[in-house]
Amino acid sequence: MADLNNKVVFNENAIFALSKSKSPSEVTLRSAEWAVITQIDGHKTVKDISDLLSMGNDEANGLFQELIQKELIELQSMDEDKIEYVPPDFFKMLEAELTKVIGPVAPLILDDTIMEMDTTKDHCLPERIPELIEMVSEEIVDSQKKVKFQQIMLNQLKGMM
Amino acid sequence: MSQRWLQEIVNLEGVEGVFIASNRAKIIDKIGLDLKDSQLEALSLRILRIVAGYHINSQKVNEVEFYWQNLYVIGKVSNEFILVTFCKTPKVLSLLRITLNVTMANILEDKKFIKIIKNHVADRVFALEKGDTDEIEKNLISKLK
Repeated sequence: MADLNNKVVFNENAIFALSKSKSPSEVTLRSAEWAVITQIDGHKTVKDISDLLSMGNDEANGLFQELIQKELIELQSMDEDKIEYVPPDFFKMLEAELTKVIGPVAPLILDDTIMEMDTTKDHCLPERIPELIEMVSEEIVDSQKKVKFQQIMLNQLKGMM
Repeated sequence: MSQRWLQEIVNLEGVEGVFIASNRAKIIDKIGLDLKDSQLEALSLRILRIVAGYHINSQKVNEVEFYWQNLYVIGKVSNEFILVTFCKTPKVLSLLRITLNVTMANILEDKKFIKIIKNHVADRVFALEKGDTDEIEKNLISKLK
């Protein structure tokens, strides 16, 4: 991942996490660097963060490189070509299954939960789906129906993860 | 027969091992664990005592989670048995919890397995009295009688 100048090579799909060895409070940071640090959560890509902070690619790249050099962030994952997000069909299936159990309120519950998880249907990573299923399951009062729903979703997950 | 279900749990990332114990803290089946049955029985008893403690306060507890010897432990409790999982890291906790819920349901649907488990079920209060107990615990257990 590192080139001859000790620079970490990453693309806009790279995901960073905060360093476990060093805290941002130990170093002096510019406000732009702080802005990036506050957005790093182990889920957002470089592109997500640069879009949120209205930064250009070069500016974002520079800020990430500085934070890497200061050992405040670590590259968590990166797909060289394209990050595989959860396909839209999965959400359609999830919504249909949830509707069978809790009725027409299911789409609203699903949308609210996705928003609560700070993600979107278009940019949801597969590893976050179990968390989503667990959260929406909390809306199912009947314990037998809850397990049945989780059973169906678990079978779907096996094909995805 | 329970090995298939336990294997599904232990296949998850971060899971070190899993075992099933009766409500008398007798080990029924285990997989991926380098621990003596006596240690697992002591742990089962501890979980049963925690659940019983809540029961005294009229609170129904189905799941207990805690750290033990640097391992994250999830104890799922039913009327017939307990399912205890050891994780190195709670990295895939949501997936693990869903898998455990489904596994519990599968086991409860298996009449043969439930028959085996029920052969181990006796007076739960009697089981709780086993092992070391301090005065507070003795007092709490007496309230269950």
